[in-house]
Amino acid sequence: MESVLMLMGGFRDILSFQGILSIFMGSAFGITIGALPGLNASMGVALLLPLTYGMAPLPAIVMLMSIYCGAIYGGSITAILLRTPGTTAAACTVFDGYEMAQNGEPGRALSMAATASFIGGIFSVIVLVFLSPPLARMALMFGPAEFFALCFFGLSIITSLSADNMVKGLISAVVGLLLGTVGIDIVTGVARFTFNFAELLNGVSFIPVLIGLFAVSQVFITFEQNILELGGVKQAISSLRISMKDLWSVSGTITRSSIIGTIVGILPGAGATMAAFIAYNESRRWSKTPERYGKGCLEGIAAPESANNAATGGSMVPLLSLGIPGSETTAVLIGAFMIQGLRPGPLLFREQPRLVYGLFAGMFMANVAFFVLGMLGSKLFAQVTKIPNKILLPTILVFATIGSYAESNSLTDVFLMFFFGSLGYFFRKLEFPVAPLVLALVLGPMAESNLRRGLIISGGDWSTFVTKPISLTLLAIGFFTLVMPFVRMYKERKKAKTA
Amino acid sequence: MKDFKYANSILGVLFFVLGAWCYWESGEYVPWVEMEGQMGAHIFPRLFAGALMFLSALMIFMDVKQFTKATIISFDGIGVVFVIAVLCFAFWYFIPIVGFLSTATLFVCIITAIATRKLRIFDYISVVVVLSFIYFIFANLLKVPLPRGFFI
Amino acid sequence: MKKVKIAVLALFVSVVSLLFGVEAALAAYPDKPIEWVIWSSPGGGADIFVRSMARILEPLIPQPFVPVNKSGGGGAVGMAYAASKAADGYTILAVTPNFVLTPALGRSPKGPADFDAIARVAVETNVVAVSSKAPYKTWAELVDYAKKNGGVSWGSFGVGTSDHVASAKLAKLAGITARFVPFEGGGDSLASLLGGHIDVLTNNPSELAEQIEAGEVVLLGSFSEERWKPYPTVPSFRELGYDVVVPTWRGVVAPKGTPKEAIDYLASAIEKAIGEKSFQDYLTNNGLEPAFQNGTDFGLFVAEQDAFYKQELASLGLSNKK
Repeated sequence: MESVLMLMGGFRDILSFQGILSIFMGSAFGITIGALPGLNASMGVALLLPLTYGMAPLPAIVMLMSIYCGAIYGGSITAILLRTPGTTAAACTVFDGYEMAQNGEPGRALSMAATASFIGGIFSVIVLVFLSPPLARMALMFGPAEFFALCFFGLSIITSLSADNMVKGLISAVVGLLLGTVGIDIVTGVARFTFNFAELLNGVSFIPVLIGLFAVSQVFITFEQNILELGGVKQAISSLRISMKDLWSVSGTITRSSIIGTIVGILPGAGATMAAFIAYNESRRWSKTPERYGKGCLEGIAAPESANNAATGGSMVPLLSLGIPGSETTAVLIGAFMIQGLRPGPLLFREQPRLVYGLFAGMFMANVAFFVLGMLGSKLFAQVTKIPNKILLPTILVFATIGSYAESNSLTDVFLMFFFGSLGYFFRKLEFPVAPLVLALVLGPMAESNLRRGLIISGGDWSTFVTKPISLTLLAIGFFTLVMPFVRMYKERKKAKTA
Repeated sequence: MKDFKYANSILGVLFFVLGAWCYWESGEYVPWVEMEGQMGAHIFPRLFAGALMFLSALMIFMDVKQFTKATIISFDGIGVVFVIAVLCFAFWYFIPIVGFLSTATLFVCIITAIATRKLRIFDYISVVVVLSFIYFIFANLLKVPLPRGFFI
Repeated sequence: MKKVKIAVLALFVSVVSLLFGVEAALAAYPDKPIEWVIWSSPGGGADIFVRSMARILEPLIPQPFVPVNKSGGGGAVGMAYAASKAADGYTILAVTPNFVLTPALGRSPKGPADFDAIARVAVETNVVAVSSKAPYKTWAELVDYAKKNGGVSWGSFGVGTSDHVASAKLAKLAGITARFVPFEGGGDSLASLLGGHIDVLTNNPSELAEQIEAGEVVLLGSFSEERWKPYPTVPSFRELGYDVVVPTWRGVVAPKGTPKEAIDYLASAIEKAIGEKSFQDYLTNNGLEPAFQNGTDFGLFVAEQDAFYKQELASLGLSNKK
């Protein structure tokens, strides 16, 4: 009850003219940053950090939090319209979002993304306000062994992502895993597959790969198929938004994904991308019509979008209650706190409860702000699909170049982006699914380093992974997820034989 | 090239070679200090390379035995894709020498020319306007660093 | 379009004038923005350091700084980029001990030999921390515990970082087995320490400040020469009888051959900036201690550090392997 009163006070503090202005400015900027390929939430926050030097603590930090929330939502816009995920967290939204836009329903896809993001975000803020301390303690129970098990669970989705063509899907995944090993091995310090290129020492950057595989390969395919057919979308564009009926039909998915997203977001280091993938797969697993996924169904947008925005509130849990940054963006946010002479952590709760509840209220409002902007804008954004190919294709290539350069100011990344564009083209021509490669590239390095960390801690004893309850449970679920498609294949074959 | 049906086998061989090469390359990463519980840097690349070799062998086997449907692809449009890809890499090559804005202007105009196969001035003006707009947003509003060369 | 044309023209003119008028340009150094290369990504430790410093330096010199992030490979990418630029005083690079460590580990073709030192700005230290729930509260207790239990797991930032070198040397001198668990970021390692997954952690005190105040984390000692000022109750390891003094530092360098005038100019501006109250505040908030050295002294200091780290890496069996 006390926290409700405190929260009310927080709303009173943030709902000033300056507060609302900074929330909406932050959200608009965040959506833009998120939608532009290559610029992600942490860069957006870092870019506006200098602006906050002269501001009061509450509006300053709330503005940066609004950028964070807005950017995670904004990533879905370009994922849906251009097949270019604006942020890595939106990689999963491409599968169904782009298909849906191509089917003539960009407005429905965009408003679904905004609504799902909003619900996921609000859910996570509520969790943040009322359950922070116990959940933060839960996050501490995750050590390297548990993280390895979580990564294994995430990776086990590969088999169901490639169910249509198992061998090719697995090959795609293994290529992703191999790519993930490029760079300095953190445990021994050996440089692997770098061939003396300093740029490769930190590994293959994820953003160029993502832009190349999704956006550039799409440009190539479009050129091949219908250069002369001008106009991005074949069907007439309906100006429809989602209806209450639609929302009701995905309510189960959104609830489940919001819970998954919040929990994964709380775990330091796991992050929004992993949350989106797990939520997507769980949504498909529980669906009665899993065959509709990947062909433009609402659940396929609702699941990753509610999960990745739920991860924003989740990642604030360890930041505010323990002072531990759970993601790149929250690490930059610590910088913002320090500029104001503050330090997030348990003491902040005790010494400045008013500020903390102001932040909670501000984060709540940030979700409202991007929802309002997103819904108002969805009609406008949808016009992008009307841009003729002759303008759209060169523009996407320019965006792709700038986006892949921007992350680390490296032309090597631009080369990688075009290389993966060509590779993606061949993959798609030859019916290799791309999703397993992306997933493996995200989770592979995390799985490897945590496995090896776990083994160092246990002194080489492998039983460490099965004697801890959390790790054992996750490994068991992962194993089940891994073999499920094979079991299903076997059953279907048997049925086909008897029939 | 007409419909080509041995694609899977050939790909299988390519992936097998890639896997074998990775396996061989990761032999270099065997650790020089032994430590309790420490897995060498070579274990994971080896594991994945081995898996790649196994899977590609399986793919060849299934293709030859015709357990799976052959992937039939046509390369009718490969010509234009090849040209675009070469242009992309040329674009990448010339950015640091000539500069981003000037190279990009030329690049988008050529791409539009290929897309329309016509010389309608209006198309070119519109892509250049869009490009300048993007450039303005990134370089001037967001202050994102862009590649530089001799001319902007 | 007109704007662009004018810009092209202006750039062309400035390039030409630069080619023909190097002497004249130098007389009025600096007469164009100075590119400040940062080898971490936006928001990283070195990035915030440079941007804060640039903000305080800017009123002191007539030209602005342009921070350029070239992250990757423990500084290797930033060094390669900065070394490739003209040595005209318009490119500078912010450095940390990675400046000597990364080349010594054979991960960067460029190293201290390719740069001229401008100034050292500040020094900091690493500390050894344990969770307050652990059964050991002092270094001696930890040593006993490690000897009884066959070693401890020890978190650090990966092989060949300054904190790993320091901790490994300390463990060796104390005769205990330490299983070094490498982490990528301060957050992960701290969470693992608080969750009881690792026994000991070497980290920067500023990253632990909140936990220390809240009583979640106990410091056992610091790698500084004397007691680290913000935590006067924590002994230094030298005091405890171990000869491990491993300072970490932040400084600024420029490509080899940069004119002496430019270096002296920047060094004196930095010295002035360090004297400013706002910069002092920034440093104390981040656990840094102002420790200005001019170019000559900093160059000697870097050479000394280079020899020191090379020797330590060799004794750990890590140096320049191929």
